Amino acid sequence: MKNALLTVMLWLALIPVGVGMQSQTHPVSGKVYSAEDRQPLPGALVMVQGTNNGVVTDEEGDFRLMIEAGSHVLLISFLGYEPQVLEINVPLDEPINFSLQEEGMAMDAVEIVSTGYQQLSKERATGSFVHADRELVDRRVSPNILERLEDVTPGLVFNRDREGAGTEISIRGTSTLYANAQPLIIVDNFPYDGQIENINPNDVESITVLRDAAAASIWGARAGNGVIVITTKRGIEGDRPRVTFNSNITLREQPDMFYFPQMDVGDFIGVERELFGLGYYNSQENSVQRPLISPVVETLIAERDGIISNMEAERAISEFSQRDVRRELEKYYYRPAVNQQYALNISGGSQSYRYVYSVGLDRNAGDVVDNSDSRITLNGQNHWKFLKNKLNVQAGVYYAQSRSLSGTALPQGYNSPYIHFGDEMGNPLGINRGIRGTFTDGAMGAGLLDWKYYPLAERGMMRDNSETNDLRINTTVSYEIFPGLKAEVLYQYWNAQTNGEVHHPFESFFARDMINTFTQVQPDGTLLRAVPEGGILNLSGVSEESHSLRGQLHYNKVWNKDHEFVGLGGYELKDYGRSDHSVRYYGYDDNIGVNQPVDYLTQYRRYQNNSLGRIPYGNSIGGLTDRFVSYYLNGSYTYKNMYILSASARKDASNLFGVEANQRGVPLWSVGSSWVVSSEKFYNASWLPFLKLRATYGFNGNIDKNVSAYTTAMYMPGSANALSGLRYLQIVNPPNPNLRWERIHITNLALDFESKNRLISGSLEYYYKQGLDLIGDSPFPTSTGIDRFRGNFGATESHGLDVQLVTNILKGRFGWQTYFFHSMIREKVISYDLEAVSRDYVAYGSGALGGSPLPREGFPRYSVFSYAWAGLDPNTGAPRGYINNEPSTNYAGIFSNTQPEDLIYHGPGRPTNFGSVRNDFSFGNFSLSVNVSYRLGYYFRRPTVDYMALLQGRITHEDFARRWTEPGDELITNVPSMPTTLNNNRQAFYNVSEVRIEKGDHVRLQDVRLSYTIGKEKLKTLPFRRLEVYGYANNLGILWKETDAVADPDFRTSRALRSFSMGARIEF
Amino acid sequence: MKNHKYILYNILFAIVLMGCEEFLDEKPRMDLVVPESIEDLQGLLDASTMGMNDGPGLTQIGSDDLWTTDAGWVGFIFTAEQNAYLWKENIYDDPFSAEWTMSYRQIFYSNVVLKEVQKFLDVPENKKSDLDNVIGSAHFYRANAFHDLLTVFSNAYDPNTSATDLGVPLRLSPNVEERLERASLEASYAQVIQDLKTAISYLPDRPLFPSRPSRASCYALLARVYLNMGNYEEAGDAAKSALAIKQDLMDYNNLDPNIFYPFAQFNPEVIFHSKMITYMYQFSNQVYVNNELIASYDQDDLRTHLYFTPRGDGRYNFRGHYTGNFSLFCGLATDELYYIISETAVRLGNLEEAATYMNHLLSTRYVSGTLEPITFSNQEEALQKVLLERRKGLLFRGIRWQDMKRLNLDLQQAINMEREIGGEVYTLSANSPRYVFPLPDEEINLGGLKQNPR
Repeated sequence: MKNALLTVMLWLALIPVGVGMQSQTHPVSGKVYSAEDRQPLPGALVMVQGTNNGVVTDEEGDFRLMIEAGSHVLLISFLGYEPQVLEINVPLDEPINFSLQEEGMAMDAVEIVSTGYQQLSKERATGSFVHADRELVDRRVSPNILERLEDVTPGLVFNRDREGAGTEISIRGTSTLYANAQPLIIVDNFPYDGQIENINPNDVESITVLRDAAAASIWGARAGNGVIVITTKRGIEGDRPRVTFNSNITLREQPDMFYFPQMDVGDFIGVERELFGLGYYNSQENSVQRPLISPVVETLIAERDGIISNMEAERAISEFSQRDVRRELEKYYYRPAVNQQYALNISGGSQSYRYVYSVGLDRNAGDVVDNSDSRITLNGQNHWKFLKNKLNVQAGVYYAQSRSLSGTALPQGYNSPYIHFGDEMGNPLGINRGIRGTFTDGAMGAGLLDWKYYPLAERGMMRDNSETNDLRINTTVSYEIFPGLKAEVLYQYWNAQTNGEVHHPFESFFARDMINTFTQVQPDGTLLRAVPEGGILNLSGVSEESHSLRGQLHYNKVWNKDHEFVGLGGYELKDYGRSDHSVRYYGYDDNIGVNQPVDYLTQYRRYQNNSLGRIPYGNSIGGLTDRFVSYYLNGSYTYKNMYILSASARKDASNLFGVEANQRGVPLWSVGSSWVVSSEKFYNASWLPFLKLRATYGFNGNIDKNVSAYTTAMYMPGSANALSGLRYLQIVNPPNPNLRWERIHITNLALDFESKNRLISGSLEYYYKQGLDLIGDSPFPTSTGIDRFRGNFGATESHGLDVQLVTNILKGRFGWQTYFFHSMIREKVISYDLEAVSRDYVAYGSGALGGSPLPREGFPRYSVFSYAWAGLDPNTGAPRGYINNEPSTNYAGIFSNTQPEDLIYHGPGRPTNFGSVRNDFSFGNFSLSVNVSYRLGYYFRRPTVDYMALLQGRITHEDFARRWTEPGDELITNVPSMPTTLNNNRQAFYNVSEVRIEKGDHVRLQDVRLSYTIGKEKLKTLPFRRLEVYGYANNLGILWKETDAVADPDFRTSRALRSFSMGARIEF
Repeated sequence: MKNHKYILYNILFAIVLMGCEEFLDEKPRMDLVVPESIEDLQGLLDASTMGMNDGPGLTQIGSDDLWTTDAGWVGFIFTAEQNAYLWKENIYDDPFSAEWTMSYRQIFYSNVVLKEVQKFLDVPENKKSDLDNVIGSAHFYRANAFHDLLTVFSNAYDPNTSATDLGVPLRLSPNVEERLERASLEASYAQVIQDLKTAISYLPDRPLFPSRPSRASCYALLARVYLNMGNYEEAGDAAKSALAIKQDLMDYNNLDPNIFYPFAQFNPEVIFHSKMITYMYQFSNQVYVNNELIASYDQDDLRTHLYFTPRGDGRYNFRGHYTGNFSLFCGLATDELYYIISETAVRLGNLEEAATYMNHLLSTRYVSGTLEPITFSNQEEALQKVLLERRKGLLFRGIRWQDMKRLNLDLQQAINMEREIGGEVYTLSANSPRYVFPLPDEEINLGGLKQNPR
């Protein structure tokens, strides 16, 4: 409540000023925009000559002054533009519009960055912003907007250290340990709660990335990972309707099954034969669990038991060795993906009204047959001005419908690499899945359903569909109370409904397997189907809704021409709710929509192994609520357009659970300053006409809602309780009364410059970040009942450089521009109490999903460690490590005797230097853009042979062929010999030994874009204003890499698929 | 003009006022709670998935109930079970022990319940039985967990040394910051008995749900505890108190040996369900029942068919799990009570009583009418017989290890064991310190506890 009072007091303080100023004067209003593209110019200075009276234009480029009646001269100035002077007679009937010409006819328009709260010109900013304008956003062809930031944004990197982990973006590193590490995404003023895939890139005008405290602290407790602000397109006042149509088609190559270097199928069969000879499969053959046994081994068993002759067996096996399941997958399942994109955009406006309407359609045929998705987006934005421009009303609707349809899943549950899905004619073949064939054959004889799996027959059989309807409605009402003071209310309602449906028909293996598993043999020998015959239908629904409300005051004042103040203060509420449910129906008949009940409570015997189990229960309900209350103030003061001071403060409170009310919030603040050195009188370096220094300092926050001050527990449904079926509570965390929010302290120092004629321009930024009070784990003796205690135990430190250079080497008919950026980052965990055993630190870096690294004091958050390698045992070919400096094959001993400090530290697992060089060439109407990107200074574990997998019947890496087979081989190979028993530690040691570590450094040709543009200004007879025809090719390949071990250090197991796009954009 | 302004002010003012704390009181997840009702506390105790119905699994593998081949031993995927099978000096390959963690989690949950329940003591009459069940159950779970820990991590109870022998930390509060030393063995056993006696006064005779404890389970555990302490009189009395509530025995003649797991989960003999912590040896068909033990079953003994799966070469796998599933049972059942009464009666000189209980039990284990009733001529012979019957009836139930420990205290019963894997011979002599498992390293490093000598 104290904060609420503060806000009220702020109001009261401002009101008398407003009332006092309203007498004796007349309003003069107007708009300032850029002559070139008619975009409004926020932050332009409008002064009445000879007075202190002046204002700065708002984010719409609008201004409003109170001027005494009579004749006055208005001065309009904006950095980078020619100033204008206009004589006026007050009172005026009409608003005045100024269109400013850019200074020196430079090529680039002024960059307007958006914080999500206000728009400001980059020249007036003290903080660290990266701006991607419409041209850059449109450069890439992709359905996803965030992808378009890759390799063009200094400091921003897409992490690929954990394959399959999805898009993990980090901006200037990671300053958290276990809390959310993803940047906050803002779409049109508010944090976006939906799936980013629902934003159509064709509707995006620009993207701003906020990197430091001054830029992001307005977002307070959620800004710790950086902020990405997406601004959608707006109409332009007084513009006649513009219609833009963009259409493109993208072809992405088919997944390459042979990309991962796999061992020879013949070798694999050889291993199976060898193991069979050793009696390795005896236990599986005798197991009560009836595990799947591979076709080769079944053949060998049949031969041993005299069921088939030796010749028959050999013939069958030689046939297996000719097969390869990868060819089957390519033949029957994979295909090139095709994406079609259509977008129509209409914008325009009158004096006091502007609008934009757009329709978008994306259709994507996926790379697996019968898989497709589509997206339809509808967008309408309106902006009205009333009461002589004093009242601004904006209203917009954004609707997206995304659908994904799948009728075919890739075959699964087979291990053997020589499985055949179809005969020569392509007719479906039955294979065994999960359970041994000899058992299922017998079961079918005993009256159970066919227990074979026919992958080809299941193509197109299932239905796995989902649909999301995403609706966003926003409105802004702003009212100018008196010149310079504006009150604004923004409101956004967002709603997303996702419905999913997965139908496994009765004929599917999934349904038959479930029915068979729960088939009960009655005492009299009859069969009872506990799961009734029929299909299995899963339905799920997620309903999400959020309300965001913001009330704020803008104030700006100019006095004595040289002093300028812009302030912003407000209050924000956010209420997000999510509810989800899922249901499963058994015995479902899709033709009549009828299902049958089952008994979820009785424990049945599973037919294949007699174990007890309940019929899987697919019903659940859940709900989440996320609420925020925030207060913020933000101001900047500019003197003589040379010195800028800025400050920002924000307090956030959230519905953290089980926390005392006074710990729910966190106050965060920042200050910044900048100095345009080149405007000083003493400055006379004519070769560098623009030089600006910036410095900021402050705090952002981060939040982990999973910790609490009280003992919290989570209810689990009875279906999770195998023993009793009773619902139960699981303790989530023990009480932590000292819980605090994470804070990230950032210092940013920067230099912006521009040489004469903008031959070279750019910026150089240095930052230093400290993650404080980071939520981490502290080890506890397990006799307390817990082994880890989550609290504010960690701290991290990082510093780095972001360099950006733009050169205009050639201008005119033949143009050549180069955009270069380089980012360097050094990260370190500086405080973390949990000291684990050495083995825990090597889990990360194998490239697989899930291996989230354990933080270790003194090392980067993502560090690659390994165990020292003592070569292969010359007698056995077993991998060796060291115990007390002696080579050893006692792997448990190596693990337990190696202390963390004895591990070899190779380096970070994420790039420490990265950047790109983009060359844009133009010749007449043609332009060509080539982007080469690089990532340096990081390490990964290369894939290699996995004997554990091999011994469990799964094929592995081709390193198998390079394994140790006889004494002497240890001199030429590091690949261990094949063990004949499952020895987890032997494989585990090899996996984490130093011989598997590789450097990830590489340079790649990311993409090329070629376009041809023709406009009316050149050819008057054109029936349209402008036409651009473009081609775009992505993921073109590696140009250089340090390692020979993999084809691509960032795509170690599956290829980065090349794609080619063709498209046209027409403007009418 | 002015009107506009006031409307705007009022809207904004209303927004400010809305920001009261209630807005932020909504919980972030529907299913999240701060345990605050009797139902919530019962929910904590029903957390079988979190291990409330689990017991030690590593002691079983060290006992003479079973043996395996070289290939079988390699198939033990966990280093701890490989080492425990061979009674090696070092057991764990990481700083943790599943047995230790599991028991102390049960204790933590119980302690949370016992602390939070103080808020609800004043309940309406119709909630009284729910409240009592929660209090009694928490005491039972805690006692059970402490006792499990003692069987793994402490010596057998010897009254001559128990005051100085090391027990386990007696954690009685949910405060995770509290640091405790290991209590003496005597104090540890005293705590178990005290908790059980408290539980008896709160719990209903029979459980409200088969997975929950009851007064019968308290008496049954008390009988086991007293037997382990050598308090034969109290052990026999407790066993009889348990039988007074529940004396059901299954007639094995009525069970179908053709069903793979012939015993049902929650079968009539089960008093409290508990299963062993999972290790690979429990699933292996290369883990065989002790050959001598197999040879000791009579031809008409139905257990030979219901308990074992023949694997050829005179080798048998065990399948007579009272869990009704592939997990090994280590809970409390009525059959154990009969063995306890028989043994304690022999030790106290009541040979006739011992024979009566033994014959009553065995008559349900033999083909109807084939049992030749056991008779005892002298105490020494009687003891050998009841101990053998106890082995035959309670194998693979997690009881044998502690039995070996307590029997070793009597030199005449002392057991010396030998195993051979990979051509190497391993021995475990009677009263070897290897009978006591080491504490997990992290408990020594972080908790500063005293390690067991090996």
